[in-house]
Amino acid sequence: MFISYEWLKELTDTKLTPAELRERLTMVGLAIDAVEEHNGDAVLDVEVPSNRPDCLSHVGVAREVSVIEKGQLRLPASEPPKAEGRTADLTSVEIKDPDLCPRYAARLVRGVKIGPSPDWLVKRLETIGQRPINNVADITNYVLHELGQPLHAFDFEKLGGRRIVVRRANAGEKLKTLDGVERTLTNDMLVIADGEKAVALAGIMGGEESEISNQTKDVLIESAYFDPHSVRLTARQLGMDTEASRRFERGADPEGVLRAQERCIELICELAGGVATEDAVDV
Amino acid sequence: MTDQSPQAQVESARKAFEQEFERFSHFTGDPSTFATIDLETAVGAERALAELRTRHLGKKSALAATKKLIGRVAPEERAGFGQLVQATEGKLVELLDQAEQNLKTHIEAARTARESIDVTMPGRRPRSGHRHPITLLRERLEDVFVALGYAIEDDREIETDFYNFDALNIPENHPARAWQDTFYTTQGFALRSQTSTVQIHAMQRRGVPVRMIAPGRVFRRDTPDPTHNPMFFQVEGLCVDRGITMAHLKGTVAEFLRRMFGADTVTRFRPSYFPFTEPSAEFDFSCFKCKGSGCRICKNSGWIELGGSGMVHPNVLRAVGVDPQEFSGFAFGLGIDRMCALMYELDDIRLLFENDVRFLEKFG
Repeated sequence: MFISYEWLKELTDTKLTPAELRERLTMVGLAIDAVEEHNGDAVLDVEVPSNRPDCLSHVGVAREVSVIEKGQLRLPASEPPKAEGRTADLTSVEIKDPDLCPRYAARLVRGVKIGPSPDWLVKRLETIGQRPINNVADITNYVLHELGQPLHAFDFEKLGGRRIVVRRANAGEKLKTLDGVERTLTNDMLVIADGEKAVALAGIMGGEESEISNQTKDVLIESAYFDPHSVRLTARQLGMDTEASRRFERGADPEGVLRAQERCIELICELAGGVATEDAVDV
Repeated sequence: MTDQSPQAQVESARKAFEQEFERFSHFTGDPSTFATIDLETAVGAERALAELRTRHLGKKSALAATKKLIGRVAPEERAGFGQLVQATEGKLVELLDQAEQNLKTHIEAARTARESIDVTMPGRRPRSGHRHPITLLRERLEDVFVALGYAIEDDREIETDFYNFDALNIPENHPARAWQDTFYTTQGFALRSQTSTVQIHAMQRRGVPVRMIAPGRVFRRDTPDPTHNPMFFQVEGLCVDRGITMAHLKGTVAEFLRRMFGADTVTRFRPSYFPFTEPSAEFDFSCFKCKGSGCRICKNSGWIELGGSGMVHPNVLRAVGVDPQEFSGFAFGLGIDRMCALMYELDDIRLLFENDVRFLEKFG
């Protein structure tokens, strides 16, 4: 997992150089294989052991660093978004299989303008080896790498019935994920569905149909906690391995669901415009 | 026969001889025509000729009988008859003598050739085999640990999921079941992916306290490359007793590395994670080549990673019926082939499994 040194410095005022960090982090159990220079920044390739899912993000690693140095952790903060209206008035979330999804939060941002991300965001993503797509998609990716909570953005118009249903797939149900592959599902796989059909593979990858496009106006932001075993089994069965699935498999933070969503919404409003709903539907 | 004239009888005796002598007639000619005949055949021919001589020229031969017939010849022809007999006999004797002489010469030459020894030839050295470098290293490792009071154990290579996973605190759906991608037989047995399975068997068999190492073959679903092979060799150690602490682990590993690489070898431990130990650590030792200044072997860090270790997880002890409140233990493991490649500076561990004699004969 790639960690940007400059990004880390924003989150904890470390006095250590990248080389020193490499030594110190390795000695506390976060082995750093290599440190590479990239555009004036140093990128640490961190090997996170499978019992430390909390370190699968910049904040997670920053937390470790602040402990090593007895320094301070500065959680990212952004402007509270312009808010109007309640999510519950505009959509609903139904969790049919709570054993596989104990928590799901949905929140809307309406009237966004999809476009390329600002330079600082593009640079951050590229430094850690991620590909920029559009501002909203990039923000969800950014927050994943910042806080360790995977998020997903749906084009709200494309959701049939404008609502979310979290359920197991029907045997043989098909879903085209946003990598263009049509997948045939089994009834032990968890999907995010709308009123009519599956729209995403829960915790793994979104569907192509509801992905953010240049025409998208209203966005539904998903932030949830999915059962690690279920995500792992589904991912293995389909031969998939994504940044999201990796984090859910190891165990994400159920309490981080709302904070990550808030951060994501704030950034969207700041960078893509739009008005958020005041709160989330949190089930 | 007795109705023929005496002269005719001499003639037929001669003809009978010639017929039988036919196959030996080449012996009367140029010796080079029979120079290739081997010794056994030549000796056989010699014997046959001697026998021929007796049959046709001996006392009971037809020719000898004709001599007595002189009485039946008309008196004025007797002198001529006598000469005929003499001449015939002489001719036969001459042929036989020549053949026998040539054959004798040939036989003597062949015998000499066969029995002669060229004392200037170099001696023949029996080729000796070579012990495999992994065997050599394994024995060295065994020696070190036997001297520390450890027993050597091995057990089966094909295992059930219980020994390979459940007893090692790796339940179903645990991510560890993925990173150790395992080979399975069609009947659902696993090829062991670590020799920790032997530790479980040993504890079941010997009970505790126990001190043992288990060198052996393990199998992991890996694509072969310079540092990976689907089949490789590990050695794992286990020490369980009352009052075993991590200090014992560190001391044992440090001592083992000193005995392998020299008294000035420094060891360091880094926190890590294994499902069957808690806490877990990986251990490195100071590079034997550059002593810390940085070189290719230690990737310029001064340290060489060697293996993993930790305190045995209480669930593992419980799985073999040992009370973790009463007993504690440590375990460690390393790859023998990796260690071998390090020590002999091999670029590709696959060299150790290809069994190319040109490679193997460079070792002990």
